[in-house]
Order: sequence, then structure tokens, then C-alpha cells
Amino acid sequence: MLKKFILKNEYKLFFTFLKISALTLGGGYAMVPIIEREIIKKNIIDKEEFIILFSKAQSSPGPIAVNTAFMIGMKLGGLLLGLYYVLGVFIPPFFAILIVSSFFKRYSNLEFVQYFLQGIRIGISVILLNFLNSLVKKFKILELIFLALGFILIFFFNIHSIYTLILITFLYLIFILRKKDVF
Amino acid sequence: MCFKLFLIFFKIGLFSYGGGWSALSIIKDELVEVYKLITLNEYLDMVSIAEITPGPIALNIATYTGYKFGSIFGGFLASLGLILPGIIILTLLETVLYFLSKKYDLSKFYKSLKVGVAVLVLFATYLITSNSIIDFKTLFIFFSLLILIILKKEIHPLIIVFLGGIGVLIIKML
Repeated sequence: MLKKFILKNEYKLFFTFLKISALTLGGGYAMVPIIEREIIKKNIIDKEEFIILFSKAQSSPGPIAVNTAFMIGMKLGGLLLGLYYVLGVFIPPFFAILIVSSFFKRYSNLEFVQYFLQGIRIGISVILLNFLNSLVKKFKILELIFLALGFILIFFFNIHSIYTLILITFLYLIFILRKKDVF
Repeated sequence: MCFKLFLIFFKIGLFSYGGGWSALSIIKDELVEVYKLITLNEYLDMVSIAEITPGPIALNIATYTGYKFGSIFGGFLASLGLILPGIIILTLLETVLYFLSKKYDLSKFYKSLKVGVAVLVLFATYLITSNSIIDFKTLFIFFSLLILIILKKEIHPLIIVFLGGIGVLIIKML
């Protein structure tokens, strides 16, 4: 009975998430395409369904890889299966960080560690610029004005990021909703 | 302290849309400015470590910060706080609030959210870039990597970061 339970396909998928989470470096965005490939390869969910699940996962806050795993679980077997898959994504980085941080405490003062981290920071700047570019590529002049306004709020007025996010989102929303009424 | 960490990361988790990159800006405001738990330098180191460790970046930062202030339990609670809002909202959207997406057109809201998120990503980009380019050598590495990513769009982010790390090592050791 128990063996049958564990070997059921849906439950085995936990180990797929565990594996992907343990082996994918570079954040959640790097994980999603691999999750997609594995899930579609296993014939569990087809591509169209995956795209719907992913867009839902993306429209909610929090790490995208975690949300995607949760949505796949919800789709296949409900809340508990979703949480089970989340655990699969959660476990590897949790222990990886515990190990890395204890090493880091000991070696963070070494010159070459500092240099290496500084270089990683440069790499992250470039990745961020690339990501920003993909975000604003389709922006028109109105969006760009709000983008600049938001940056001014954070940068010159030291407004907290959360308030800036709320403010810009709703100001823009009001703006586009009103525009529709007028015309 | 552990409960406070949980609450801080719950708040971060609740407002970080569009993945870890937009969370960076909120994490900096909460941990460095509001609660003064870590310095800007520690924050920048954390971001670098989070990028080269498996798992979502914001989740790694949560675990790291939680572990620093509250050991394993703190790390667990901080991470839990980060992922809980998304899971709760997804559950609600799939069950009780199912009618929301049917009845109302939320596409305008998501379009607006994208603008808000872009602001946070822009600030995070400014923050990390201004703290990583400190002299001509680092500027040179920055432009080399930038050219690489423009020429090879599909390059894995990890290659970019490692090239950066090795680049600074070589240049500083020369």
C-alpha cells in the first residue's frame, strides 16, 4: 500500500523538483524553463496548460519557482500536493545556504573571496540590466514617465520601495482607466 | 527575533512581484534602511552569494538572514515568511476568489503592476551597478560582460557571474 503510494507518479514528481532545485544555480528564472522541460517530457502537463499555470504563478508575489511548483501540485492533486512540491523546491537551497553561510563566516575576510564576490556583483549588474531591458522594451512614453517618476521617488525622496511600488502601480492604473472613460 | 524575521520576510514576500530581481530593492529597504539588521556591504555580499547558490535568490537571502540572527529555526521562519504570501494568494485565487478573474478583467492591473515592478528593478540595477563599478578595471569587466550578453542573448546567467568573479580575481592579482 505504502509502496504503491510512494511510487505514484504525482508523488515521484517531488524528487524532480528536489533535483531541479538542487542543481539549478542562478535564481528562480533559471529554474522555470527546466521545470517546464521536465514536466512536459514526463507527459504530466502539456505545454499550453503549463503556460497557464506559469502565468498564474507569475501574477502572484514571491519566488516564481516556488509558485510554479505549487501551481503544478494544485493542478495535479490539490493543496497538499502543491505544498509537497514546494517542499521539494525549498529543501535544497535551505541546506545549501546553511552550509555556505557557515563557510562564508570563516573565509569572508580573505582577499580573493572579496575579489570574487565583487566580480559576481558586476555580473549581476549586467544580468539586471539585461532583465530591465526585457521589461521596458515594450514600454511606451507614458510607462517610461511613470518609471522615471518612481525612480525619483526612491532615489531622491527615499520613499520605501513598497510604497513606491503601490503608488506607481495605482497611479498608472488610475491613469489608464480614466483615459478609457474620456475617449 | 525569529518572529520578527518571519514578519519582515512575509512583508517582503507579499510585495515582491515578478521574481527575485524586484525583491532586491525591497529587501535592501527593509534590512538595511528600516530595521538596520545588516550593512549595505553585507547586503551586497548576500546578493552575490545568493546568486551562486542553488534556489531562488530572495529565498536564499531570507534563509541567510534568518540563519544569521536566529540559527536554523530563524532561517526556516524567514524563508517560510517569504513564500507564504504567494502560496496563500494562489490558493485563494484558485478557490474562493476564482470568480475574480472570471468577472473582472485584471489585465489592466497587471499591466500597471509591471510598471511598478520595473521601477524596483531599475532601482536594484542602479544599486548593484553603482556599487560594483568602482574603478576603470571593474568598468572594463562590466562592459566586456555587457557586450557578451548583448551578443549572446541566451547565455546562462551563471556564466556571466562566474566570468565576472574570475575577471576581477585576475585583474586584482596582476
